[in-house]
Amino acid sequence: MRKPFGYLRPASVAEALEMKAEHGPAARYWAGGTDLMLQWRRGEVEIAQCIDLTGLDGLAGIDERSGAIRIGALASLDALDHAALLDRHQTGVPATARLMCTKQTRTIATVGGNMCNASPGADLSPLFVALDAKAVIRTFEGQGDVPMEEFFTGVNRTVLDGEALLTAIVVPLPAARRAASYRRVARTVVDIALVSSAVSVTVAEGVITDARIALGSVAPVPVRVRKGEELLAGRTAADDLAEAIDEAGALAEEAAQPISDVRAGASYRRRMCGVLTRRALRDVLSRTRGEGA
Amino acid sequence: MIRLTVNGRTFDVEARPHECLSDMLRRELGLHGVRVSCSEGECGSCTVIMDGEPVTSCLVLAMQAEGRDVLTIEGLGNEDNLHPIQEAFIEEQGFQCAFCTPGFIMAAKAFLEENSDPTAEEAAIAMSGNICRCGAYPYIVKSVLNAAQKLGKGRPGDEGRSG
Repeated sequence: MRKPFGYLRPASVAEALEMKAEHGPAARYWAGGTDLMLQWRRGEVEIAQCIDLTGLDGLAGIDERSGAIRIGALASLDALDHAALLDRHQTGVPATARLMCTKQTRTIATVGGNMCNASPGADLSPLFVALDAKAVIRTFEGQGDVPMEEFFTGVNRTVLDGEALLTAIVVPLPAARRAASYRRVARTVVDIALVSSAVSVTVAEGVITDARIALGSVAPVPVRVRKGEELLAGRTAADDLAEAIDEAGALAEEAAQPISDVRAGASYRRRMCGVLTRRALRDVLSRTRGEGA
Repeated sequence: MIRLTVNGRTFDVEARPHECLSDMLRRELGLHGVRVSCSEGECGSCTVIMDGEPVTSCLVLAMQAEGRDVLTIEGLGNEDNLHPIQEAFIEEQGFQCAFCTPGFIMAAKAFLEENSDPTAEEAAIAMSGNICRCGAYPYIVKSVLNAAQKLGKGRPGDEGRSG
């Protein structure tokens, strides 16, 4: 039996920050708790106080404001799965959320918790990096934001420090047509990713104006495939891009820094980076070629 | 003490800060239909419905159920008055040892409210959050499809629906 912890229920974000500052590192912000509960049961983390955020108002919405989609940190994975706004803008987020854990855990688990847990295998992390999303962070000094690419600093580590609290993820909406796609290999449908690739492509007047590729599960944090992105940018989307897609896949293999563990070997993971990146690129390019492209 | 509604009745119960909902429901209210198997949110045995959504109650803090409305298998039906989903599981033999059955039935209830006329594939995917170690899966899928029919016939304005 693990050492029991105390329970605190703040009435506002400001009060949550104060509780965190007062009780220090052994006080943990608690949202769905689906990762934290297990880590505590396994004795992997010490928890003195649980600061339950789930009663806070206004942190679970998914809405469009000033050219971006704002996803509240307390939005559940199931809410992401059913978010018409995220689907309509071809973010790839609903389909990705649907791959995660099980229905009855998606209703509890939150997007903020998933990001803060910062697992190298987290499905949404590379996708948010590919979408150029930002983490909105509240501290005593006020509100700031950090690109998701810089949010993760290591295995289960993020830039969050002290009382800092992730309150939202903001996905920008480019003026031109964009499509994003996430592909992964996992042992079973509800398993976590052995390796994954997320791709986002923006097309304006038939030309690829921006391409972003991020790999998951091949390093402590998501890995950008910058050479592959540069290769695609500026090309005409209507052209036969088979060769460029092939080459981008090879560049993804080069960018990956996978390890071997019980779940997969490094060489397999590396090869799959190429395969998944090519599949994701074919998918998004076919979708940006549709009407209005 | 926390106050919550369970199976339509309001209770004031003792909940420990670190305790999960499934443990509290079993200890305080004697609801042993809430089965606990893996305690890791993998097997779905402890599935209950909270404010209309299915949840693995081994991962929810009991404290987080304050003010919420929880439904367990005991609130769905009983021996004298079976719920149509329970009838369907009996008719189709959607179980062997039945340890996992309450979890499957609660997951099916939430699913059928979202999709009242599923295909076999949709039903199988919807049940993928629950594990049956006896391997009764084909019968469980049949049970869910049978339950959808039973519930469909009970819906007003839907009497003429065929098959």
